Parts: sequence; structure tokens; C-alpha cells
Amino acid sequence: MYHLILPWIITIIIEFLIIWGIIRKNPGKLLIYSLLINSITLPLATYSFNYFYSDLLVTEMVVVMVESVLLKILLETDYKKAFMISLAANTVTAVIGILISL
Amino acid sequence: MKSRFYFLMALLSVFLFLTPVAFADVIEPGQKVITYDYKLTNIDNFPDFVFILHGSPNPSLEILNSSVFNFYKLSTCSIYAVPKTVFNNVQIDKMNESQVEEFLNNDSRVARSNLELDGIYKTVSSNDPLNSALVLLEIKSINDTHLYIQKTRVIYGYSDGKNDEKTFIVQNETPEHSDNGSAPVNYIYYLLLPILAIIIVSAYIIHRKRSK
Repeated sequence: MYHLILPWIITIIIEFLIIWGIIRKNPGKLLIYSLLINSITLPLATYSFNYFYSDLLVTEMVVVMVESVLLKILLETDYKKAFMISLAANTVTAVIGILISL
Repeated sequence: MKSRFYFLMALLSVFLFLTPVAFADVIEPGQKVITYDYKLTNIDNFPDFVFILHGSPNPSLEILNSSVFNFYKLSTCSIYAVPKTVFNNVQIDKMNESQVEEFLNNDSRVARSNLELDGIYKTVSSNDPLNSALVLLEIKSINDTHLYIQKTRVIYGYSDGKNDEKTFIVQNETPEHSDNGSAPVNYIYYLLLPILAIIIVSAYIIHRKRSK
């Protein structure tokens, strides 16, 4: 159970910190956004990576795209900024994930 | 400030794009290799023979007993049965690698199995509770130069300490391990959690639009 819950919690916290570092307001709201976004993308991406298509790059790219759309809607910002936030957040979490798995 | 942000993004993007390439020839992140363990279950019934494991690229020579054995994951190995009297005479331990190979493959006193043993069962997700795959081998007969060994069962070991035993129906097809993950937790995590999150996000967006 912990092998699923722990990465989920770590990802929520890291992505929250990155979004908060860029947006710099409403930390409570941003934490909930991070929780909701990662509750959608992380389980689906993990499942697809584990059981359908084990390509980290493609999986991460799809996650970045989906999270960009969700961030754009939730943060009411433009696509460019949402994409940049999503790219930064997912790059950091992917790198941390890779380092942990080594 | 803005240019630094874009520079950082570009740098991180390059790293993200290069990382999978760097790991492509090894194990991908998030995956683990399950190697085979093997055991000759009835080796003690053949006390007049020495059973030797030989493979490519290795081991060159490994004397087997009733214990579990395994080998380098990328090797393919075979088992040979040498009568004890022959084994004691030929002094195999003094042979070099090519002499060992020549002896095992061509000497008329050696019984060879046509069963090829692989090192890897499969690569699975690192989240997969599967930990080990032990194949039980049974020596059926030794006739002159032919050693007949059969794969009888495979015992899968899981991270929670449980085992799962499957019987071989076809010799060259290892029965699949069960999906022994904690099914209810997987169901909640992979299905209910995203559905719930999508509902909440949708409801929040609708609520926000209505209140504008």
C-alpha cells in the first residue's frame, strides 16, 4: 500500500511547493489544486506506465499536457504559464523519482 | 528573472528528455528484473552422477547439488550429467574453458539435457509485489548421452511473504504469476481516486462559473 501512497503524497507536496513558488499566493488553495491534479494524473500515469506503455518520456509528456490544461483552468492563467509550471513541477518530480529508483 | 526562469525550464527539459535514453540499455526507472532460481528436486536419487551447470556467457562450470541455484541474468544455461567415475578421472577442474565446453558437448560419456534455462523471468514494475521465481526441475531419466529433465512447478514469491505455486503445462511456457497485489488498494488508487478527483474538479469549475 505504501508503495502507492508515498509517491502520491511526495508528488503532491513537491508539485505544491513548485506551484506556490511560482504563483506565490493562496497556499491552501494551491495545495488542494495539487492534491486534485495529482489524484487524477499520478494514478492513471502510473497504471499506464506499469501495465500498458512503459515509456517514461511519453508518460511524462502526456502528464505535462494534462496538468497544463488542469492548471490553466484551476489557476485561471494562460496556457503558456500553465505549461511552464506543469513542466517545472513534473520535471522535478520525475528527476526525484528516477533518483529514488536508482 | 524571467530569462533565468526560461533558462531553468530549458535545462530541466533537456535533462528530462535525455534521462530515459541514458537508462534505455539498463533497467528502466520504475521497473525491476525478476530472475529465475532453479532447484533440482530429486538430484539425490542419482548419486552416481555429477550434475554440472554450464552456460553462455557463464558459468563455465558449476557443480549442482540439491540447493537452489541461479546464474547471471543474461546467460542461457544447460545441465549435464557426468558419471562420478568419469568425473573423477577427467579432472575437469584442471581444464580451461574451451576444454570444459568441448568435454561437456562432445564427450560420449556425458549426458546432456536439451532443456535451456534462462536467467530472466520478466521485467515488472517496481510496484509489483513479485520478488522471486523458483523453477523446480525433476530429473526423469539419464540414458547414455541424453539427460531428460522436466520443469515441474514454478513458485513465485511476493513481498508480503506469500508464495504462489503454478504447474508447468508446456515446458517452454512458464505459467504466469498471479496478480497478487493488494487488489482493493489498487482499485481505490487507480480507479476511485482519479474518478473522485475528476468529479470534484468538475464540480468546482461548474460552481465557479455559476458564481461569476
